[in-house]
Amino acid sequence: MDLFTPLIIIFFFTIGIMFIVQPLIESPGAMPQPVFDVDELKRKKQILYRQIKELETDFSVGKLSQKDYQKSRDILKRNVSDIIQQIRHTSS
Amino acid sequence: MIPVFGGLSLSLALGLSFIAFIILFLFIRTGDYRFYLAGWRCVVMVSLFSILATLLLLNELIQSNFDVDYVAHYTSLETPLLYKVTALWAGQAGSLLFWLFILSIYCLIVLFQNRNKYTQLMPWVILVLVSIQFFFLIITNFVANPFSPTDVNFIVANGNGLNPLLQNLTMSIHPPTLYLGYVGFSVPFAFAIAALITGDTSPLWIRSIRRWTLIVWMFQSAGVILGGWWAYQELGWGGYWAWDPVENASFMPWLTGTAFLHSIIIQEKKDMLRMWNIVLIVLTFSLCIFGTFLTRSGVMSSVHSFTASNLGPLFLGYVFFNLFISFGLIIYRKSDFKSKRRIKSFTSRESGFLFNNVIFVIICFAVFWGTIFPVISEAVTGTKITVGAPFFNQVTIPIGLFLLFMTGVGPILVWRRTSKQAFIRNFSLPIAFGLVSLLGGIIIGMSGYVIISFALIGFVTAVILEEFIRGIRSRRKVQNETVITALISMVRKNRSRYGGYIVHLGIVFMFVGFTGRAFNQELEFSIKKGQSQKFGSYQFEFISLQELERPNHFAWVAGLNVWNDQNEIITRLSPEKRIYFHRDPNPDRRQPHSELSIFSTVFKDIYSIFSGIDIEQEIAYIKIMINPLVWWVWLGGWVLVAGTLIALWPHKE
Amino acid sequence: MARHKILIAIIGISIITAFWITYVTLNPDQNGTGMMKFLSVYELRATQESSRVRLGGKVATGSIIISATDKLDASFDLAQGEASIPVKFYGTRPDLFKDDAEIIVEGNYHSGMFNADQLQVKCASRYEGTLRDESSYNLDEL
Repeated sequence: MDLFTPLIIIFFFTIGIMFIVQPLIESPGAMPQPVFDVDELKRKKQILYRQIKELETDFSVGKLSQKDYQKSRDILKRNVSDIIQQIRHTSS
Repeated sequence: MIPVFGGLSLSLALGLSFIAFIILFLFIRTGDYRFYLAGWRCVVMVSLFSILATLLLLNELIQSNFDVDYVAHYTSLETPLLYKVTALWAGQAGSLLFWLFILSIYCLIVLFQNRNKYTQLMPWVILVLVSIQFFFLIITNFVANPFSPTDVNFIVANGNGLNPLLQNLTMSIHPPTLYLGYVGFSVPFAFAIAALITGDTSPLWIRSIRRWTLIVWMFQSAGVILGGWWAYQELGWGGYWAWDPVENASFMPWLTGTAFLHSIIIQEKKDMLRMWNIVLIVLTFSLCIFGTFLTRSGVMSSVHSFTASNLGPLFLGYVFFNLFISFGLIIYRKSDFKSKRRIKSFTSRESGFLFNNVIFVIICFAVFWGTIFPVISEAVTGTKITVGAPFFNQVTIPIGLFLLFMTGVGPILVWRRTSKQAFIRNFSLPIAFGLVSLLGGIIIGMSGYVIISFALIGFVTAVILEEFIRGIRSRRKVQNETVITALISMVRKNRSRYGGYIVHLGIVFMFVGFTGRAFNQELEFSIKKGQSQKFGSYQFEFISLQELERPNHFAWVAGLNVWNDQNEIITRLSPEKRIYFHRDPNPDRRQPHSELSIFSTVFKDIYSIFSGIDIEQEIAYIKIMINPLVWWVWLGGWVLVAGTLIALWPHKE
Repeated sequence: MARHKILIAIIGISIITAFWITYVTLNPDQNGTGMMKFLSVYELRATQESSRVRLGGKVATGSIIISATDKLDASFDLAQGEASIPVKFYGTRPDLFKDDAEIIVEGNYHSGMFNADQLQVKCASRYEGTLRDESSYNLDEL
């Protein structure tokens, strides 16, 4: 084995270790604030919107009765408004 | 020098994965965010080193460095470049490294995609993923090291070369595709375990892996189908599915994976089946590992496993370890699974999905039972029993047909409750369709399962088409659009639904092909140059016999003109008899191989095998098979992939 | 209410299919191809099993006789140690079928002769074999 190869190995290994250890040397940072909470709520809202649209299509092709349609729609609408409130609450 | 680097990066990856454990545990104990960052980076390094090792092995294969035992075993100087690359997953050690390689790529994607997301789940997700990497690193370091050198006593002038059966274009894409599927289920599994540990089994974790699961499922489906395609083109027995343990190994996780794909929709939209979903993904992942075990341990003597090895106990141990931990956690978290929601009606989409799930799991169990039955019977009674394809066909056909029926019922069901009128209105046409195909079948003279199958195919196709037509009609009532624009905008507005229907249509097409198997015919005959042989409504004329020498083999090519009953030549088949390593001085080491020639049409395939030759008398021994409707299986596969892609296409927000 | 109905239906389906799987396991396909005993040459000679079985062994060296008039017609001896059983097989033989190959045949044993209609070669020896051969050299021998 020539002298060059161990040097390369040591070089890359050191870089790797430094890369891993670097955050440990820095001052303790706080956990990133969970911005994702709002994102999650927004996604939930989107899923509900899609469900309402789907429900409307299903009703328009006559797959469910007027009564069931009203009921499901009311529940979904209520859930949406809950989530919109939550979003307002968290972002303010 | 490079093999040393390869071995070294595997060792480094192993060491780092251990360090990652410690750092992540420290984070979980102290909550100090810096530990999380360090652990995150540590896993990045583990993945990079694993990927580096794979690339180094690939380099050795391409360079034909026979100092590496693996390279000498699976390639030779004559092996074409493409197959030097595919040799990476042709053997034991390489394929396990390849598993690790794909896992590491997935790992990097997950790490970077979710850098600042799911802060509760991620530490555990990373921990689970690195533990899987750890297992494969132990194996590639200590049990099957792909970089282990050739025996020092030998100077290898040329390697063994790649098995001719694996020198096929399909075979170079089938394993990676299947692996992309298999390995990919590690990620939903990791999220599920993370959800269990953190106690948050709400639909949050489902939302984070839904698209991922769909992508992985697509690869898995394509991989299974490509495997069948390879067998059909290369193995020369005229079929694509033999219920071989290795095929079953790829099929079982597909079954539970498909069930999972359906049931997460219920949890995402209705927050039901929390526990069931976790059980399903645990089963799927365990079956993926179990599948690797079946393929790689040689526990079943099977055409695919070329080796027996000591990997068996390790893999089986790992499967049980995973099951133990997972089910332990599930029992521990039992009280968290209580969902307030209940299924309201028998005729709801929720209950439809639930039944579909049950059927998938039952089929999976039946296949599992048949696969391990030889092992059980040998252990209990002492005599070894082999379970053949007829057993699997007999068991699964009725259940499979019921599943096909469910494919037809599913699209009509809506959430909560489907109205009675809807059932009558939506089913009258499809049932009529089904009855027509039933009658048609009886008139042609079909019977048994075949006729039920065709009736169901008619029924399900009608249901799916009706869904499309109704959707278009209701759009056109509101907006003034042409049929085409209505169709396009309708699919666009609801990709996952219509993509799903297209996938179902693909499955129906595949059933058409499966049913065609009942009409297969075959004939073996010897034929002198210039003579003709009649088979069915065809006449086979042996017109030429060529001798060719290609870079890595020698070939006799038979020219067969195929005449139909109107005295027209419909095609010319040219099956080949090849000898690989024809220059090897030892005749025992030369390897004959039959290359098939297939003429494929929508209605039937003419499949020819050149099985033997008498050179002096110019007599060829030919086997012809007429396989109706096989084409539909492959069409179904393409449609399935296309449908999944439509469902996956990102929404414009 | 609906919950109970669904639960009953699921349990019903599971029980029916469980019975079905058990039934097929106990009564495999009539012609016996679904489940077969897998025997070695010794075992078959000892039991004289007449039902359809699979038989594993090695092709005895030099025993392969291929009919001069029809190349699809082959007979050979399947050996295990000292014992052997004569086998007749008509049809396309796998490419790797040759002397000493480990094979599995399927068929019936009848008055000292095994009539096979399926023939499988157990593994592609070359691809997992040892590296020692003409293209490699042992340093000690040079």
